[in-house]
Amino acid sequence: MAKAQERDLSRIGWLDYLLMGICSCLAVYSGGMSIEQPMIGLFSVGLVLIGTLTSYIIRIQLLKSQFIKWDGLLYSAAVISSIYFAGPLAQLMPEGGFPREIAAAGWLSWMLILGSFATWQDSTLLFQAIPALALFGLVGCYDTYRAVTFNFFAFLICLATLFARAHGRQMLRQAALSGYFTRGLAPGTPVPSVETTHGLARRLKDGPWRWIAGPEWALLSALAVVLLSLLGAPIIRESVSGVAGIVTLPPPPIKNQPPSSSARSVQSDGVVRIGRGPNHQSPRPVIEAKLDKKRYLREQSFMSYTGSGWQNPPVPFSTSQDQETPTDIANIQVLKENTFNFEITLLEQLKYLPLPPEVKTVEADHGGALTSYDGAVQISIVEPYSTKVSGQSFEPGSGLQPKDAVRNVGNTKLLDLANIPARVTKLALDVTAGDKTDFDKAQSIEREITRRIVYNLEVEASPSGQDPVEWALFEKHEAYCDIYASAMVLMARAVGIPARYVQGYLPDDRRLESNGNFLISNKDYHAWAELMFKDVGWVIFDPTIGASAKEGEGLGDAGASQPWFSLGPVALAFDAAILLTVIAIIGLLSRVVKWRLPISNSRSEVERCYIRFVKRLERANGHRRHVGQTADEFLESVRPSLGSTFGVARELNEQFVRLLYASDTVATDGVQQVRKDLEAFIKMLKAEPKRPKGEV
Amino acid sequence: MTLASAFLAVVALMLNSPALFYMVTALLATIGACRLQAWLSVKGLRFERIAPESVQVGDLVTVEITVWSDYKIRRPLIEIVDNRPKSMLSAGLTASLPIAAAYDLPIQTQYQFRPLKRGHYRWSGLTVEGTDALGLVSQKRQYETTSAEVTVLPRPIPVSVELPAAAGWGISEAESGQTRGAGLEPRGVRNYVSGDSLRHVHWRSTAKRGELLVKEFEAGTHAAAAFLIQQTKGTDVGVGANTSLELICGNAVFLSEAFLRQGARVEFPGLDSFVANASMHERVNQIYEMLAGVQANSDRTLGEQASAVVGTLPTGSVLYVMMAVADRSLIDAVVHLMSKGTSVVPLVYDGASFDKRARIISATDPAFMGALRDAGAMPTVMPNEVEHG
Repeated sequence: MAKAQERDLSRIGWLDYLLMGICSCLAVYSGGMSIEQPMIGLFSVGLVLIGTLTSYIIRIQLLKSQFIKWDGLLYSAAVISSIYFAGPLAQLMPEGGFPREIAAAGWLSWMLILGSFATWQDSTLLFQAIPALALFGLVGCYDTYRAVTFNFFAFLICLATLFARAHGRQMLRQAALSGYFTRGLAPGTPVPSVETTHGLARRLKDGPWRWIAGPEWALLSALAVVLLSLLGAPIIRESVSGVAGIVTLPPPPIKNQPPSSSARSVQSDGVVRIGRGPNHQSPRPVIEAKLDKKRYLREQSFMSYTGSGWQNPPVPFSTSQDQETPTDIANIQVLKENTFNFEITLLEQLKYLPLPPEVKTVEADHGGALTSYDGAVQISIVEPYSTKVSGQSFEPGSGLQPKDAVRNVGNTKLLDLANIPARVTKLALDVTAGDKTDFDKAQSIEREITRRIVYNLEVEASPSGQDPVEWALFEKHEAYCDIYASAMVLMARAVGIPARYVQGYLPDDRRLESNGNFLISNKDYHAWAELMFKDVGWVIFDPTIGASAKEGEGLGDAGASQPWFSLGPVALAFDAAILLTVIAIIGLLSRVVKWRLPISNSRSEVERCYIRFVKRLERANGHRRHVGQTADEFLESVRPSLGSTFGVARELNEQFVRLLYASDTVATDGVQQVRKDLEAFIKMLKAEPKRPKGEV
Repeated sequence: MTLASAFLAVVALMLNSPALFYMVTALLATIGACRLQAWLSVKGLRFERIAPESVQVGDLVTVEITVWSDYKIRRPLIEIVDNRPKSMLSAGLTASLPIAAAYDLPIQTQYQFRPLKRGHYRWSGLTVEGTDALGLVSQKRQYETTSAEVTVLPRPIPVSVELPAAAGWGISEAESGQTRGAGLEPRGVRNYVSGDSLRHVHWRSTAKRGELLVKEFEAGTHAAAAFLIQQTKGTDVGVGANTSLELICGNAVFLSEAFLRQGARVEFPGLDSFVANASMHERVNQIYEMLAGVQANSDRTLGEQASAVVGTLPTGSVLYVMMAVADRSLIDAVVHLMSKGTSVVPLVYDGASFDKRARIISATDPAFMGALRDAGAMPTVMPNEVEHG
């Protein structure tokens, strides 16, 4: 029986199934996440794990049976079934499976699922990599799930290790067929089966495989490949950006998309409702923004408060390319402006362009841009995918400090006090009682709102008939950005500061692309207030910044309700698993980096010394030792070239012969002695005068 | 995998998808790393080969190859394929043991095979096939080594055939002695060998010893046998190792050995020179070596070969002409030889049975055999074994 600690490469083990299970799970999970359906991903993962475990158990039970060779047939049947019965199988998945536009992902997922039940030998086990690779490729094409890159790297590392182990087994079978294990035995001795015989790999690793670069090296290479890809891919992409992107692929539709939050949708009556309840935003990327720093991206602004939301009077849009937009709607001049460039790439169809204020020039690559007097920008020709919009914006120069608000705002509703609850007005007047400048008042209002309201994306909708701002400030004390912004606007107006409600995007620092661009998704949709000050223009006030938040419901966390795998104990278990994996990888790396020789005992130390001895003699003599020569014969053949050192060489040679062919283990002091004698002999040989060739 | 990566690269370029760029870069880097590993695995190696100098057809031959690595690096496994000549037909070739060449010790590998065809074979060089650690990419590299020479000797193929009178056997000498009235004493008994006539089994000794023993007769006239093998181009009929010449040489070796055991003098005119004082063992070895190199590559007809023998053989020799294809030029040569006192015994083989598509007239053709008889020869049909050994 093999020792428990003996690693045996002779057979497919639990580690191979674990690796293939991980590879398949990463692929199917990425498939589900590409259409923002984690339940589809988890469903597929669960079935793959069941299939992998089933295959492992079947293999153990049927290892010595001929039935195990049927796996190829069953795997082929699974592949054909996944395509032929694609329709019914899709219905088995949650949410009805993949949409028609990405049906191939469904076929590939079922191929992996059904195939996992029939992976009983190396061939079928490795073949699972094919549909997995195809599925990754499909997910990569649509580019709706950015984490797929890291999943792919993990997949590659596991696959490399799996291939290395399978290759080792194949070599082991070949070694068995070469007759290595039956040498010296009676003719006709059957070749041992690598599947059922322990210790074969160990015998080879002690002999002709002692210097093999095994699976550890494959793993190290895979890690190096991942590192190279992380660094190289952005460079390659940047270098071909001039010719890339000639084809646009619409992202797959999302089934049962969660209802968009009240912070986004404009109702049919043109009113943006606020306080409508839990905020569920999709993590699907919407735009990619190239900015000099993190900036608010204004999409639309609203001036009239209805008591339950915001609206605007119809505003005209003017058409021209590269036109300059008014710096403000009341013709306010901004002293000392700093300009900066921006570039926005649309990844989804949007009616209004989110751009950093204040836009100075804007140009779309497919046509002109339409601008309204309040700075909102539309594209005249809608090419929704990968449309690039570039331009220039400006901001107040550094050193400009806002102080007083603009008073003359004309016919705009910026100071409209209609529908502002009395309690809100009173609160605004109370908190700004001691402030001297309008800017100080605005800051006091912002602080008060931050103090009163806790940020919570899951807050329920405000009661019907009650003003949502009043409810949040005085009763519920919980809200998210739309209420914060609305409260800021209403309270600012109450103290005479022109203000408007603005919707747009606030990039998340955590979602920075490798090229430095911000990847902005629906989850980054945001609302804030803008107040107008003399000589400075619109100043953004965002009371959500610095507000305390409910756990997991903070700014930027506007997603679907928390999935089970991110809940406390489960998340902890995942973290522990990741930590253990990292520790295992580090342990593996350190084992490889140590450059341990497979055999590190005294006899091999003596062998190394003898090799060195022979090399010195070969160098002195001018030709190599023939493999058929014994140690004594070789020494005799080089005798003429050794001169007076021959006697010492002979004694040393006798030591080597005694130690190398001793039946007992070699003592450490014997090794040390021979090492010392060898050093002494080498010194003597160096000092010996060289003899011309042929002289005896 | 390269094709898949190239396809994905094109798609990534078309779609400008960041995820695809990462995937393609990773795949291409993996392929590049595999190629590098495979290239390293076959670089910087030294070899030595040990092969036996001579073997017989059908024997198990073991060729040992020792490998050293010139670099102190770990390597993926390599397989060594010896560049044996294509003409060296063999069976039972074992797989080569995959090894990882070591820096500190020579690593030995070996392969075995059974040669099927006799001949002198010489080759040098071998091919090393290496793969990466994943087994995805393989590389080959040729290495030159000192040349190996292996002589595959013919395996004696026993033939059990009654040779006609004056065939030169000790036994037939007894018969001819009986007919002439000269008595010949058996000189002893010896073990039975395949081909001996059962009429001369010494039953008493056999019963005593428990093994088959035959009488051995004194060859009173020191019989001499000469063998002439048909070597004209196009007369080696058959495919691969199953050819008429292989069978002829196997039978020739068997018959030579039998004659030599009888104390007869055996010659192969035109193929080797007879050494007078060589022992039987030495002579047998010479014959084996000589027959190993016999090829059907001569421009001379069998008649010319036979005519060249006239006057060179000792008196009373019997010339055994072994052939598979009818050669009319032999007829005149037979007449000439018979007139000089040399008996000619054609040992004929059915050449057509070795290759039914060959356009030849077999030596067993009745008309040809009749002509030989008319010329005074005593043709004997030899058994045709389609598969020998």
